[in-house]
Amino acid sequence: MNPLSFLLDEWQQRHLLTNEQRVQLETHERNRPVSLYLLLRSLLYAGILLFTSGVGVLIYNNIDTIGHTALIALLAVLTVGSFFYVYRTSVPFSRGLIENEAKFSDFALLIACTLFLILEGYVQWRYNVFGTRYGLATVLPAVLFLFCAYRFDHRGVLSMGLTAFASWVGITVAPMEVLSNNDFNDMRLIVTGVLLGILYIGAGVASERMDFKKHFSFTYLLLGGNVFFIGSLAGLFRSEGWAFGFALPIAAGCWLFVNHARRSQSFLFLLMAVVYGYIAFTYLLFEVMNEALWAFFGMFYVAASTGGVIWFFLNFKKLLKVRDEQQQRQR
Amino acid sequence: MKAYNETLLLNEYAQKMAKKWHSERLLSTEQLAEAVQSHAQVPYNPNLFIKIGLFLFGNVCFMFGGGFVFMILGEGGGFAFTALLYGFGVTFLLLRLIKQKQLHFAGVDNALIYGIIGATMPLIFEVYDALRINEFWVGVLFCLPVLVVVVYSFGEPLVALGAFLSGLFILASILMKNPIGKALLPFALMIYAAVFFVVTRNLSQKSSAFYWKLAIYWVNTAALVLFYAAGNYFVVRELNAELNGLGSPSPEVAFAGLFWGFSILIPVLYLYGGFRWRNRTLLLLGLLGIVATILTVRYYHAMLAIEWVLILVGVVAAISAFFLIRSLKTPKFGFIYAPEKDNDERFAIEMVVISQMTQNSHSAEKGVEFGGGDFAGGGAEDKY
Repeated sequence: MNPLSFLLDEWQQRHLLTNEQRVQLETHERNRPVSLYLLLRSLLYAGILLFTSGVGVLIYNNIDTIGHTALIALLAVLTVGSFFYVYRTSVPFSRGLIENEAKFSDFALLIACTLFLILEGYVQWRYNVFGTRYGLATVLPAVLFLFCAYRFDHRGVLSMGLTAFASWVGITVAPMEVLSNNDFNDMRLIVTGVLLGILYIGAGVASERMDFKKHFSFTYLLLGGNVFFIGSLAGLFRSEGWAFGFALPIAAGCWLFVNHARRSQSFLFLLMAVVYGYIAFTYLLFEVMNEALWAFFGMFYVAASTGGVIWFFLNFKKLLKVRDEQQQRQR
Repeated sequence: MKAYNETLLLNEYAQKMAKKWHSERLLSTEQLAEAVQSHAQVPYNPNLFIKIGLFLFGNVCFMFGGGFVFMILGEGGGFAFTALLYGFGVTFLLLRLIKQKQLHFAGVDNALIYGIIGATMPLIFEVYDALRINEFWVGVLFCLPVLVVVVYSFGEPLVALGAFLSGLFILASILMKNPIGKALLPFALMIYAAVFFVVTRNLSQKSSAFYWKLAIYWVNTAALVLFYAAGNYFVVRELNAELNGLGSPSPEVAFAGLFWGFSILIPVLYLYGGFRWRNRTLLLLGLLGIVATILTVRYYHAMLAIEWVLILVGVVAAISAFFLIRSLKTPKFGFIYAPEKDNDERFAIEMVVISQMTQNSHSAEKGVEFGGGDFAGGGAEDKY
């Protein structure tokens, strides 16, 4: 007997179900169509990835016969074509979330923007259009992507735009590379990172408060939060003497993120606040306390405090008065 | 002894089904209320990110707690003894925590389960060391009872997978001791996988095995992967050369035709099974198997330049996906293409991937590197 009939048996015994309803439920469950959403989408992406890689290699091997100009022209046509398709299938601008019926429109915008990046890089390499004005070359895609993100309501393109904008000011925000790609020995870069993080976080909070593209705040806060916290922590570790200049912003950031997590039920932000906050707090404690004491209390402190964090995670709903998940989120 | 309260798990399942049927208007609101009431107690099931946090801090807490215990007790009765004692202490704590907080795979219990298994290892290692046998598989054999007991009482999927792989390792090690065993290795592994597949498939239909549902699913999937891999021509040929020290290029193996047959037929079989049983895992494994088989063919017979293979496979995959997406808007053969609810996890993954790929194309502007390689990173955007 499988778990389903076991459950239905039990309900029948409790007179929760009538006989025919039981049969109905059982047939329904047996014939429920299985959704291939993720499988087919992944297959589509994988197919396009393979195809473009193949075309790329093919062109690379035959570049002498094709010629750079023809290739650039082709790329330009493809880019413009994709943008045109997106424009044709788009729906009018709205402050909220847009439900677009056109199934491939989302995808086309993503392709159009990536093609634009490639095209720009190619043109710069071949004709040196931007000369040494690298700033212009990096800010141009940022502006275009941010505009497209808002106009066509696309979270993916928003994160492209924010990443491009960050490279314009010299920061890597891609979450996997925030640590490895930024040189956090440089105080100027640290401060830039922290300020950029504050800017993004501010934009996220504002979009939510003003009910203007509310659903974008997730991307803003995630990208901005990471660079803000990691930058501030780097500042905390580097700075001697005025550590509190970084500790206070971290504390404020944690408070903001915890509050946001509570309101929006996005617990990723709670996790970020707790992890980064814990690191900062422990570091400060190390700094303040005397070393001989640490040798003994260090182990005990970490064991006890992580135990405390676990307790917090197990009880946070009560502690933070989070509403029940039933009545949640209207993203 | 089952560590988790099975009733709670059944309640969770009951509530989930009741809510699903209610949203499909198969149950009235009163019936839903009644069902929820009669299955009121469910395990604590926090959001994925909370689970990650619980897992991280659970691990750190276990390690530093252990350090603290060692500092207090010293190594009085030997390292292994203290570790075992600590393991027992944590087990006791874990069982209480599970009961009090009604946990079920909430991250912290998983972390502590792994920790407890780790705490028994020093003892096993010392016994193995004292016996002075230089057979690594014997050591693994000593670990196996621990894993089996843990799987039985907790039903933890990763531990179940570990037990499955340990058994695989022991079997392979014994067979590799003599030439006949070596020759029979692929078949033995396929049989091992097939046995586990059949057993787990039967168990998954039984309500008495409900407690181990997740563990059964993981082992079932692993058995399918092993079944294909053990019969794959590339794996057999290269492993054969490796194990017998035949050097490269690897020589042809006996029964080559048979293994080519396995390489081609098994993915087809998986796809058919996935279609018949409406099983997404089988469909996915079938597709991945086809990719692996294509790679295998190309490895030994370079009939087509790599770019053309990429283009061909890409076109076939993209076009079939495109048409399936369009035609499955209405259910056919028990399948449908219905958008699933978006959630934070997916947004986060998507964002990380897109941001990463923008960064890459951006840095590529300094030196030219065109040709799609970095561009189409979007492929990994949707993940299971």
